[in-house]
Amino acid sequence: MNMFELKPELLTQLKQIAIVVVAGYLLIQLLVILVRKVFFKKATPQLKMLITKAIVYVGVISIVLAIIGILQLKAVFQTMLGAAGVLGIVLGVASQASIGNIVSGLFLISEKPFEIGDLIRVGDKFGSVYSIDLLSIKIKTMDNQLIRVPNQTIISTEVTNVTKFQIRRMDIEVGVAYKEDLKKVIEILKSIAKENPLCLDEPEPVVLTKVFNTSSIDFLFGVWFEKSNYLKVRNSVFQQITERFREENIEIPFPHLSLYTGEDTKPFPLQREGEVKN
Amino acid sequence: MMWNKITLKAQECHYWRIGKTDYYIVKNDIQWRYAVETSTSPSERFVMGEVCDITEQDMPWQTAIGEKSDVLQVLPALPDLPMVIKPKTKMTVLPGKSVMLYIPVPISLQFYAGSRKKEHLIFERATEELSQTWFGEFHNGLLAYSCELELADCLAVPKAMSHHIICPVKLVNDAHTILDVQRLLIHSEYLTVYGKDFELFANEVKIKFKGENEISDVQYASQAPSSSIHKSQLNSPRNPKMSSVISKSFHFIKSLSNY
Repeated sequence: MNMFELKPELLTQLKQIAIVVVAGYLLIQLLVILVRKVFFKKATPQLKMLITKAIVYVGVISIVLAIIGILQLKAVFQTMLGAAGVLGIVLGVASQASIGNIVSGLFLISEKPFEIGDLIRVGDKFGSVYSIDLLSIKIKTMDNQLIRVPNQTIISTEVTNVTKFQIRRMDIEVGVAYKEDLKKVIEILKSIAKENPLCLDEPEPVVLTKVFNTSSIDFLFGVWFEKSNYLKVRNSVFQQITERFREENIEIPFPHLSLYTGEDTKPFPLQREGEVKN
Repeated sequence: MMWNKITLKAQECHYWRIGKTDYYIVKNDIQWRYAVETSTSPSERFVMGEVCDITEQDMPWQTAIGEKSDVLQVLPALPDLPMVIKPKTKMTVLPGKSVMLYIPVPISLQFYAGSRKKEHLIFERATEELSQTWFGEFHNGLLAYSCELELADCLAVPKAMSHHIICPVKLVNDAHTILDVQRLLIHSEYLTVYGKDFELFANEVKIKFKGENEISDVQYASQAPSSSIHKSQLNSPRNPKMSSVISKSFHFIKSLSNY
């Protein structure tokens, strides 16, 4: 007998394995397509990814078990089961962090504090959720970098979901000179929000006199907007504030310092270069 | 008829002026070049598809690659978001009473290459930029356009309709309490446009108020309103038509913007 000649039983087993692998692969693909068509219409991207992964993992494990069955590797299987206990302890010790991450991942899935595409802030990191995996979540920053944050960190850290709700408020701090009429400033800020079609009429904009600062009286100007309009609103409102204040001769002061020569009220006289003293 | 299809020659600029907005369109083979300009005050003279002479550099032109057709259809449409009506002065409806309001909503113009099919839409722009607002609570509200109106002026069909579509809304107070109309939501996306020239109407909406914390019963008529002389349909609703729906149509101001 040729050494390369296969035994008929082995050939049959190989054929069966090939059929199981091909059929299994096709079945997994078919299941993924079916589930996508039937259940994915209203599912979140996160759920879609999880279901797809679950189908693939279960499918692959089933194929491996079927191959073990075809090859009649009962002894191997029994040995594997016996070793599994010892292996479990070894793996458990070695992968404490990973298991912690997996458990945290399960909590994250059930709690759903964010979804794929949401803008989140974790510590000093800010970006959109790129993927939610078994061990970690990946955040894509605004300058297109990918940050991997372990699930355990997410569970134990404060996470801010910026885009959870459809509308947001943008708070802008505006300082005006002490000489300005505060009532007029409030009216102008309110009219800026009213004139901008992307600033929501309701909830109404917030105009709050915040603090008597060193060089200015500071206002908090909060405008509500639909979350996808963030950049448009930010740019247009800043432009409007500058233009309107210029038109109305309202001074946006810069920090300044008065020097006194010892007298109670008169500041130290300063003269700019080229300026004629009266 | 103003809303008939028009035939365009290659490189010929056509021009529309409705309300505060000017629209320009030039066709060249499959290229549809268009520009929109908005002024601060509405124009009294309406222009519908006149040939004009415009130097290309003057306009903020955009290009759409579409149907190879010489025919252009311009149609009036209702806004792409629901409308929230905010009364300038207080209006109340006593228990068991009803009122018919004729709400003017600014027209949005749709430009189709060939015929009115979703995939043939070259562009769409409102004749008046509407301000956005939020209807309802923070967590379960709805993004909409805001329209501040004197409701007492809406009790009869306006004589000069200008660049608006009139939405007849019948409010029925079916509750035992007074209905204080603070914010009224109209789902314009379910409404059909009927009429001729600038006498444009939407189908009638009947809203039954059942109480402040109750959802209202909203019914959409399936034909042109009786107040419209011209009954022909000009444009269909953006969303598949609903004959009846139960939804929140009134909002009562609590304190939306706590610091």
